[in-house]
Amino acid sequence: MTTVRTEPTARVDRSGDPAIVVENLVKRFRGRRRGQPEVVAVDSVSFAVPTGASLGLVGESGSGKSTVARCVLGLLPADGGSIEVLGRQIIDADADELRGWRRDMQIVFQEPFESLDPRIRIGAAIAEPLQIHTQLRGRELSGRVLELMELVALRAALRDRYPHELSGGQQQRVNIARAIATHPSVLLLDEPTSSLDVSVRADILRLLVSLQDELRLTSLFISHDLHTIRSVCDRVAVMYHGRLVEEGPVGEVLRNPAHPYTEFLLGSELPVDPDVEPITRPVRGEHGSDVGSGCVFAPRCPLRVAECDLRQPDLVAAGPAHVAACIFVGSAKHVA
Amino acid sequence: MGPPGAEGSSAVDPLVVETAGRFSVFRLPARVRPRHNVPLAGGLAILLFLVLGSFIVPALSPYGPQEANPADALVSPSLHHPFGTDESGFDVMTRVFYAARIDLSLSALGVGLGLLIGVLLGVAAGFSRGLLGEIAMRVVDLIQAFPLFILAVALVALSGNHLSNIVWALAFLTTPIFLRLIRSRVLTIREQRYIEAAVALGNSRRRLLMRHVLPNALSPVIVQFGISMGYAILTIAGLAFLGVGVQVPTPEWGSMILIGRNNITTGQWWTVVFPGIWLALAVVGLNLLSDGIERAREVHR
Amino acid sequence: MVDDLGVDIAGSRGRADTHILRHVSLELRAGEMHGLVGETGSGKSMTARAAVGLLPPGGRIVSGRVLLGVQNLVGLSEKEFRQIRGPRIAMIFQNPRTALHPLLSVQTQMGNVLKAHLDLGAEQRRNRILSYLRLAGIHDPERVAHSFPHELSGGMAQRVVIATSLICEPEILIADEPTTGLDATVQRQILDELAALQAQLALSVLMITHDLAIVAQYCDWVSVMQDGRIVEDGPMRGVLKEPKADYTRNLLAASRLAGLRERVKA
Repeated sequence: MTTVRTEPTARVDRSGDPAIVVENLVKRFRGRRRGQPEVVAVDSVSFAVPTGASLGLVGESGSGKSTVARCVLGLLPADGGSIEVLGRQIIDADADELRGWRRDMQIVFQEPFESLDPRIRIGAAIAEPLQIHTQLRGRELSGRVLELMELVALRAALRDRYPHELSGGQQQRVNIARAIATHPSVLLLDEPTSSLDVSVRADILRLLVSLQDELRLTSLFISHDLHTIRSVCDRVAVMYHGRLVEEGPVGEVLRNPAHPYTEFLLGSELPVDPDVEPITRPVRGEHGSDVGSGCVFAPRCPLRVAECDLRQPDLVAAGPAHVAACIFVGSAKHVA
Repeated sequence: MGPPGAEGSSAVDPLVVETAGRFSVFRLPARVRPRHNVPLAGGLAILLFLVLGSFIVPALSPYGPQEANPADALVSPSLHHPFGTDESGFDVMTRVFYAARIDLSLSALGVGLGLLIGVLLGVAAGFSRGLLGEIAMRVVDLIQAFPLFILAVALVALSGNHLSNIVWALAFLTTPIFLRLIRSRVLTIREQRYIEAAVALGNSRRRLLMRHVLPNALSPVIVQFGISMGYAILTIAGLAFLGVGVQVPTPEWGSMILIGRNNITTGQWWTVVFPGIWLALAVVGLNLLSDGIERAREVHR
Repeated sequence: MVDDLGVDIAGSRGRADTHILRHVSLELRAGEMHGLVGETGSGKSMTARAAVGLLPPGGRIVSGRVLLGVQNLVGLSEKEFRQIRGPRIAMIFQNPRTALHPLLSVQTQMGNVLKAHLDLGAEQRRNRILSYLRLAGIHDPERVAHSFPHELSGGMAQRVVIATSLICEPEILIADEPTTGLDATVQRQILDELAALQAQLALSVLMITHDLAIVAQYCDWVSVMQDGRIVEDGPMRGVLKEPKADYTRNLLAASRLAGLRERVKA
């Protein structure tokens, strides 16, 4: 398979530095209706993704994980902090410059069908980023599109089809092909398999993992499903109500969680093996209930003490390259 | 629900065609076929008949459309005058066919202009966030509240009684309709996931509008064009009645009907009925055509 | 009393008479939670709807019976069905907020259900509503009773739906993907509560889901559907540990994300 070379990007080689560095990211939304207060969707979140690694961002609805993803790519303007992707500062970047940078950082969204313009054939959809960022045209362009389709296991014959003529899994493959078309270094995935049938999910995930290895991508994988993250990511960061509460290597965090919320998440998992008993954790309340000025999780936390309501706990070390935001990190206390 | 058309067999690589063209509005071989698209075929047939007729019949007719022959006034349909004659002795048939030129071209120009301006402004209003969009809408409200006929008369007073005034008046009348239509579509479309995805790919604002927003927003506009043209023809007649624009003896369906309406009571129906039929035919044909075009553009089934 | 729901349908519908269900048979045993598993388009929801007479327009049952005890539900009139739905068979759906009337308070809605089926005084109705809300796991039933659906969180709304469905004390509860779309922690809570309710009220539950984990942890019996047919049917443990059908085996493998090793940092 001959590879058609796209133009080299004028990018400083920073393979030593992390590809994504987020520091104290803040994003607020105004209340939608009268009387509704401002919502802080992302409250001072910081993390870094080493080049070539894959970080899973886990949280339930309302945790702010999707907002973080959109801010990282500059799709949403941030209200504070700093975001560096491949050495470039995203916040307040010049619009034209930012657009040019997009060839190196792409995203695959959750909804396979809604992500595609219903009036454009999928072959043309995959060609679009190449038309925008490269000088490829005509036969060369078609050739590259076919290569990409082969890479994501889509039959060449499908290129004249419209999105609605494809299955969910196929649509998502189109989105993936489109996202990797310009050889990006960074790939964001916002719940890419949540809307797909179970049988298709595994195939797509396997595709993503192999692409990540083959193309040496740095990826940020957002999901609410721990099992998916366990199988796909190197590191994991847990978010709750706009704050990052734990971060570390995926095996470490999911086996020895340091934050009570992570333990809760693990506790809600249902194993597919009937012989494995699910962990029973006393989970109380709903996401985001009664959040005050202290630790965001305090209202629901069984370990809660007076100090928890005073201020937000800092991220402290819980192991090698493993941090958690809880005052009980390191102590013997764990959720019963 | 298989792949559309017989494109695979064409010599041109369809992928290349798609990427080369900026507008995807008119590239649809399969759905244009008569069997699949009755409205399109029907509409085209009617309009073709009207347009061709407007040239052929007056050319073949022994009477000019503005040839008065008072001696032959109000003759009922006969071999010499298949549609009869009117008060001034004009041959109704020649005039009825000829009038298509006036009515169709005036309304097409007027509504077309309205569409152009309306779409441009509507997209701008729909895409802007904040005050600009709101201000634009209030201006549109003002315009729509303005009585058309007063405007038309004012135009005439200012610049004399030219046919071009009708075009401006029609444009004035139809711009707000298209503006609102497109704006509401744009408001919905810009929240769609595929627009966000297009932005994430690196589309510039201009490319986004041309490639993704407009094509998806045009559907109601195209249908509206046909409807508006029908109304425009009626408006032209109304204006003629006020003495604006079309004057006697220029043949125009609406004014023919208005002038001849008294004749019905005295039994001379042909001065009104034939123009009326042609008027109705034009309106139906236009609606069918715009329906057909929209159906041809349709991608979902 | 044995609640035995034997279903044998070849439902067909539409212009070209597509058969959406073919010879579907399953038996809901008394007091058991029966999992009905399938992906989109498998017909699992349609089976349930056919059983209670809620087929979409154009759909009709072309063969088979639906037995509730000894009564065949096929061919019943709408009026007769209304006497069954509520007091004998209850159904809950996926999106709790769309199942509730957006303009009526919880109390009013539940009261309407009671008024339709039972003859109780206003005081009795109120007490019953409160007690069932409490039963469904709501800690402050008074507040919730006066709330409107949009004021409730997803999990709370689903609990209200559950309470409403049980308020006429049905023998059978059909749950169509009741926790899909809810957060993992809430999902777990709701499912645990449902299981507890089932034991407490001796309910027979038909749990329709695409999630094999739910089946593994809560169901006693399972039927697997594909393309409108039942592909496998049997006690949960047997089916999940030793699946006989290829489809079941593939589904299990996919659920476990087999083939994807846990990532070790390079």
